[in-house]
Parts: sequence; structure tokens; C-alpha cells
Amino acid sequence: MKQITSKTLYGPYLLVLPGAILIGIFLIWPICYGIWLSLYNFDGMNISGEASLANYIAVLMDKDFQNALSNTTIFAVITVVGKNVLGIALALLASIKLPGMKSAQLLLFLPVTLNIVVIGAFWTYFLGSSQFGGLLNSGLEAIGLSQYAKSWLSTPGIALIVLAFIEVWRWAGLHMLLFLAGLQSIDPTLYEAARLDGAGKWARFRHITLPALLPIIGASTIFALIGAYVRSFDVVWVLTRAGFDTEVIATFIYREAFTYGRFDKAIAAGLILTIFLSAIFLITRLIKPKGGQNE
Amino acid sequence: MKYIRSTVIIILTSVVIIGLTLHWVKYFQTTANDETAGEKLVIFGPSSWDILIPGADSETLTAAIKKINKGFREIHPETGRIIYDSRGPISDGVARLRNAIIAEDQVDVVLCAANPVNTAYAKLGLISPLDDLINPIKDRFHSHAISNFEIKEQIWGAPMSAVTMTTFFYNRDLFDSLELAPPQSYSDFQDMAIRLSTAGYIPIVHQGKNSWMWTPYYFSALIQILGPNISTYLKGILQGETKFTNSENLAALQIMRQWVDDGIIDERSNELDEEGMKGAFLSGRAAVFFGVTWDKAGIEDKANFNWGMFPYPKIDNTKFPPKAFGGVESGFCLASNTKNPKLAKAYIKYVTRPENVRLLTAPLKPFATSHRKVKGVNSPENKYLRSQLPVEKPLEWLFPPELNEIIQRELQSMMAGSQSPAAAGKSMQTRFESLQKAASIRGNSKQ
Repeated sequence: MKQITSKTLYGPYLLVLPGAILIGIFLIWPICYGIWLSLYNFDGMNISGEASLANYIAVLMDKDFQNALSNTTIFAVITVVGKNVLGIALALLASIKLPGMKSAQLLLFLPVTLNIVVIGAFWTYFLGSSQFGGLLNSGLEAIGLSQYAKSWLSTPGIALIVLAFIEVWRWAGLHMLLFLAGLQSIDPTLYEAARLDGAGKWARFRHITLPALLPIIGASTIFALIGAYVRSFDVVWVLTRAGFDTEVIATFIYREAFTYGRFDKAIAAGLILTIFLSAIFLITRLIKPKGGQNE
Repeated sequence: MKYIRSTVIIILTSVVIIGLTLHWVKYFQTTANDETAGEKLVIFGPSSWDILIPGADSETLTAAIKKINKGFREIHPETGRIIYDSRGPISDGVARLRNAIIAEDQVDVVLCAANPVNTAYAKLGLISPLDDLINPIKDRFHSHAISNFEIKEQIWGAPMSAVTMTTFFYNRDLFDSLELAPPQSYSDFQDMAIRLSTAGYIPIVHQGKNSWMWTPYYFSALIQILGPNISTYLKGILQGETKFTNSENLAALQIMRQWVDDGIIDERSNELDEEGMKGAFLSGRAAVFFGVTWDKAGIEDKANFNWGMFPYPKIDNTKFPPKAFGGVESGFCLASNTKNPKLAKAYIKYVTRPENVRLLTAPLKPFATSHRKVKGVNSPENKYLRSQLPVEKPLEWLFPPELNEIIQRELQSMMAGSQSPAAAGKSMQTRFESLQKAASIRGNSKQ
């Protein structure tokens, strides 16, 4: 039996220590400081008194926050479903062995590499009204469907959905890569066996591909949820400035902090969002899908 | 082949090294003169627009900075490096200044636009009052220039800029070709819209995506209903004595909406930001836009047609004459965390001397300036603009940012046709009351 020395006992901790210190300074401490600040009146410059839970109550009672939460949830539902469905569809398409498929994969991945400002300029122009040169509306008018031409990015009720679709378009390439990796790990003999048993394309997809991809769908869903709740700021800000009923939680927090100077309320909103997201992730862990190669 | 490849790599590497060396040598040569052992002074611009001569080309700006620095060092030889640090978009200006102050970066003088001074900098404690500096040299400035930096009877900045005002810009060549005269009354605007639309042009285009740009239309209408009482009326709303649902406010909203209903402003203007609006105007698709005189330089530079300006019209059945909004747009403020207020104030005092203001405003060909002894440039356009003086101070400065946001969003929604003027007024009032209930408006809260 190997003797336990102080070197073997403390060695691993010493190796972990530099990383732990960095995490402590740059992650744990700011979170704790943020929690502490949210209990005071803080305008970004000065602490002017104790607020206890007033900031949290103010956020939860705020109709703009409720509206932002509802908008973000709608945005999240569309993007989570969209990114998964489109990601799987593109991955299936890209996995077909045809000449030029590598170039097609590259093309599908292209939006992921584009800067959000470029994306904003492109979609603003594409979705603008025909008199401002908007291609979609001009096209609809050209084929006699002018009744469907709209101010896509400035009509409340439509703008948020359009933003969600743009977000799906933007990140579908990344999700395609995730699913492509998942598809390549499926044992081809499973398909062979199923084919011998007389399974059609749909049956093979439903009973082999989809169950094998379930863990990837789980990861992809978490990425999409984080994207919707935390990273949706850029697409919303660039395309609508959070107007036309497209306020999401990220833009709400930004406005509270940097427009109104209410850092205390902004921190409280951020922490409420963290709790909300943690609850969602906990639920996804509890209903962890059965599937994958080992099932 | 191998030999050729090696040669190409050596040549390219040499070019890069020589290029970088020359760049560094040039950099050190230009900065060496400034790097004396004296006291460093940081002139901070919260955004890239906050520079000594906004909109000027880099050569003009560099030459002016050199002259200002040289003159200041002659009087204050204790001055070392003078750093001008202006970066970032206007919308991030407050955040950039706040971050610099929180991080305890050296910030001595702030190149400050009047708008954020009134709406943010002073309230957040990012700058310090300058009464002791301004009062002895008050005769340098026009009183309206100082009033743009006056908050609660304290002066927060030394004005130094051209005067700006809201105005319509129009495509004069297009108007001439259609034998249209610049409109003066609202009915002229209606006729103009019909003529331009029939000819296939957008009559008036607007940057409605930027919700804050709907407020000039709103206040331009409201001031013709309330006249000089407008400030009292708006303060009354804040104090709960008046409401957004009152007849005067609803009438102003109705006037505003009428512009869309009569086909004068395009309803789809909410799709456009500033670039889109100017693109539509400069490409000749739109005939008119409502802007601010600081747009003049850009139009002069980019328009390949003759253009002109005309004022907001007199609206029928209103008591008071139309007024333009604006005033002196920027100046110099003292950073609240400066470690060297004496030198910073000396710089502000020096740079706001009439001869320096003349140097710094001349490239902009202003129609009027912040200074009594610095007259505007003479030109037909400037003569017209001077005829519109005095301008009214922007009224949104009376409101906290949360309330401005509410007003702007409701106006935007109303102009898109999503709600009626009455619904917009009601929504403004409801949302304002809910803000009050939450005691969340800064200044009204216990914070």
C-alpha cells in the first residue's frame, strides 16, 4: 500500500491553487460583491443607504421587467426550438456525402463568424420597406403579395419574432456543427441493422438518430437558453434599440444601469435572472433525457 | 523555388520591421515635445464626438490642439503632457466617463455636451460645479449659453461651441424642379407632401428608430399651444399638478400624429436610424428631413444637389408662434475626481478665451457661438438661422431619463400607428404614475 505523505496529500491542492485564486478574484468575489451591493442604494458611484430587499421587490413589481421577462421567454422558446430543429436539419443535410459539401458546411457556418454590426446592417436593409430599398418587401410586392409587406422590425408583436428568427439564422451553423459531431459518432452498423429489419428513413431517424442525439440536444438547448436570456442584448440593441416591444432582460438591465444610473436595481435584476436560469437548468438536469450511444 | 520563397519572406519581414520602426520613431518624435517632467493634464471626451472641433478633419484638429497646448504651456509652464482622450459612441458616453471615474483614472477636464451634463453628469456626481471659475469671466459668454449648463442655480460647465437648432433640411434642386417653394404654414406642408408624393418622392423622412428623435416634433407642437408657459406646464406634470392626459398635451400629440395621417411624414420612418434617414435624403429619394444644424457639415460634404433649410411651421388654431430648440451644445466641465483642479480650471479658463474659441469654431462655419465676441460666419443659410434666434432650451432636460424614455417610446408607438394620441397620453400618464409609486425616479426617490 502506498504511503500517504504530505506531498501526495497537499500536492493536488497546490496545483489547483493558482486557478482557484483566479476564479476567486475574478468570479466569486464579484458575484458576492454584487449580492452585497444589491442590498444597498447604489448609483454606480456611491452607496447611499441600506435597501435590504427593496431592490428585488422593485424589480419584481416593475411592469417593464415583467414585460422584458415575457419577451425574453418568447424569444427563448423560438430560438431554442429553431436552433435545435434547424441545427439537426442542416447537420443531416451536411452529412450527405456529395461533392462540394465541405463548401456548403462552410457557407452555413458563415453567419456565426459575422460581426453583429454587419448582421444588423444587412437585416435592416433586407427587411426595410420597399421605398427604402428593402429586398423582402420589394420581392413580396413584385409577386403580387403586397398585403404581406410589413415594417418587420418596427411593428410591435412582429419585431420580436423577427429578431428571434434572425438569432436562429445567426447561430444555426454552430448548432449544426454540434449535431454533425453527434451524427458522426453514431455507429453505422445500427442503420445497417435497421435497414435489414425494413426500417424506413423516418423510422431510422426517429429510433436511431434522434435518441443518439438527445445528449447533444440537451447541450444545444442549454447553449440556446443562455443565448436567449443572457446574450440576446446585441441582436436586439442593433436591430431595434429595444423598441417596438422588443425589450429583453439584457436590455432592461443595461437601461437600468447605464441610462438611469440604478445599478442597485440592475444588479438585483441580474441576480433574479441568475436564479431563474439556475432553476431552468436544474429542471433540465432532473428531466435528463435518456439516450446517446450507451443507452 | 525554395530560394525565391526565402527571399520573399526576408523582403516582407524587412518591410514590416522597417515600417514599424519608422512608425515608432515618428510617434516618439511627435510625443517627445509633450513629455516633459511637468504635471500631466487629461482632457477627457466621453465619446468620439466630444473633441475640441467636432466633425473637423484630423489635420485641422491636430493643428488646433498644438496651438492651444503651446499657448497654454506659455502661461502655465508647469504643465507636462496634455492628453486628449475621446473615444466611443455617443450612446456610451455616460458609461465611459463613469467607468473612468470609478476606476480612478486621471480625468481632469471633461469635454462635455450640454445634454448629458443636464441629464446625467451633474446628477451622478461625475463633474463639479464651476461657479467660482465662470462668475468672474461671465461676460465672455452669452447668457443663454451659460443657462444650458445651469442646473439648480449652479453652473456645471464653461460653454464653448457653435449654437445649434432644430430645422428642416430640404433638397432645393428637387423643390425647384417641381416649382415648390419652402413651406411656411401647415397647409403648405400638406400641399408639398401631395406634390412630392405624386412625383414619386418621400416628402419627409425621419430617424424614428431612434425614439429620442421624436421629441423635437412633440415639443415643437406643444410650445405652440403653451408658449412661454411650457416649462411650468412640464414641471407641473412632474409635481402631479398637470397630467399627460390634459387637453393641451393631447392636442400636441394629435398635431404630431396629423403629420403621418396627412402623409407628410412617412409612417415607416420608424424603420430608419440616422444613417438610413440621411441615406434616403442624400440619395434623393426623400425630399426633406427634420434635423439639427450640426447635420449641416455632413450634408455639405455628401449632398450632390443644392439644399436649404426652413423652420417648423405655424400650426393652425394654436396661440403661440413656432420656436426652434437647441442652443450651445458643448463646453468644458471639471471632473469630480481631478487631483489637480487648479491646473484643470486654468486650462478651461484659457481655452474659453475668445481668440481660442474663434480658432476652434471657425472650421464649423457657425451661425452663432457661445461667446459674445465670437460672431457667426456670414452666409445666406446662417442669415436664415440667425433669424430664428433665440432658441428654446431642450425641454427633455426638465425630466428624469426614465420619464423621457417613456415619452419617447409612446411617441414612437403613436407615430407608427400602434396607438391613438389619446391612448399615448393615457399610457404616458399611467406609466409615469407607476414610476412615481415605485419611487424610482432619481431625485424623487429616497436615494
